[in-house]
Amino acid sequence: MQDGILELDIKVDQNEKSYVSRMNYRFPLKIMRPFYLDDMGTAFLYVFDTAGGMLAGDRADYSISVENGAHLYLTNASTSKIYQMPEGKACINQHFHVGENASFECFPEAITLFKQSELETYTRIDAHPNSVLAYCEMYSSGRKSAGESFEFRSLSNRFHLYIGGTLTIWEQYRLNMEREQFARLGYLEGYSHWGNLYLYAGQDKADSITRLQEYLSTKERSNIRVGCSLHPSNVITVKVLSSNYEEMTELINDIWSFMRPLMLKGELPYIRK
Amino acid sequence: MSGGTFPTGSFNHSYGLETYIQTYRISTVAEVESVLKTILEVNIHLDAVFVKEAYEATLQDDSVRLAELQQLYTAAKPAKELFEASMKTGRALLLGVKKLQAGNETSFYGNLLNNSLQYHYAIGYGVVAAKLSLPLRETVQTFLFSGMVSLVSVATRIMPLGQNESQLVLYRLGKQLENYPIIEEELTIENVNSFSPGLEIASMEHETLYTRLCMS
Repeated sequence: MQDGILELDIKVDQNEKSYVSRMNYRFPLKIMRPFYLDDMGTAFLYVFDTAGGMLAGDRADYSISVENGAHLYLTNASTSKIYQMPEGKACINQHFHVGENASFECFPEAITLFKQSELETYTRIDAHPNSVLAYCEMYSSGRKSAGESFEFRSLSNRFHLYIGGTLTIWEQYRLNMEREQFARLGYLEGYSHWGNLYLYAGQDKADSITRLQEYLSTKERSNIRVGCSLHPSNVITVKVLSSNYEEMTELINDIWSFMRPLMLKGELPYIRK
Repeated sequence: MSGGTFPTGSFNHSYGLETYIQTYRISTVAEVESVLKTILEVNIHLDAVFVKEAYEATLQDDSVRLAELQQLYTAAKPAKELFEASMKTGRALLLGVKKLQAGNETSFYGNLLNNSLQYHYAIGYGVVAAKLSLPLRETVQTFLFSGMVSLVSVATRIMPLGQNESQLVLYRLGKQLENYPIIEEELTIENVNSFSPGLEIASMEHETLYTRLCMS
């Protein structure tokens, strides 16, 4: 059993460059030194799970604080694999704090649920009302190359987004249903991948939903269903269903490339994977 | 209050069903029924919990808990039209009942609710049922079934479905509702399951449909 820990504080220096001011990690979680790819001094960080995936009893605890004025882009190098486990479960706990005038972009690769796997995830984000957030989560129903699809035992997902101390987005689900039910209209409708993207940049940026809707109307693809909407809390939620992982990640990357200049006043640089 | 003629405006809301029909994703009775079955399950695993929690908060005269439930339900509806549909029908329900109770000597809701009566439908339903001393089990069941009646009525209009087909769909959904193991003790916030990405995307797409008969 592995209890991975990754604790980071991100601060901004006098040259407006964001840096890792405190780091505490435990195997198998590690990070690379940050890259600087934009004009805002954003720290682009890659997280590595050096164990390659999670087994029964494994935990991964993330606690990342982006302090006032700092900018962090977080990603990882490959999909997170939840391996076959005859019994037991793996757990991922994430707590992110985004300070005033700070930005946090989180675009990890998908979590792949192998046959007979069981995963519990809990994510809590505390964002300041004057901050920018782009948070993505994606799931794959199994290893396509191995012919796996919805053979995992259970996925329990809880997502809480607090803005200014108020719970604004709450998603909670447990998936342990029959494959036929997954495929039904209203659920996953035959798609094998699903993902959410939450965007927040304060009240004055909320009108960009119209531009995003127009943009998406030009991006219709046969293998993908996508929708976006503006919540009363000014959070834009984008939901995606897809049968092709590459197409889904490309679409989400395209969406954030389109929205980043509107919400964060900066072009999205090329993120090498 | 669960009758089709109670003026909540629910006949204006398809909760994403219109998107499926307009975009030709569904065209048969079986497909309509499939979408409605999913909506029914979502209502069981999310809305029914709020009916029960609001019912119990009302019995305890706990306005703080009702405000918490209101915030939580709002957070569970990221799609704008699903949020608005719930708020509009909720307020209409509370207002309609308040008018019916206008002859009473004391205010029907007391200090339990805010003056604007801006509450989600599931919460409003639980409040009203508790105030009227209706049994909880029947409250949850009528909430779920009346939701289906309303949606079948919408489908009859926009699909269109025949009257006989509509009644058969409703009959089968009612039978399925009977067979669902709805255990009151398990209707808790901890057990909420809000997973329905297809419905949420349909509702989001509805915002930009070229022509619409329904508000959601």
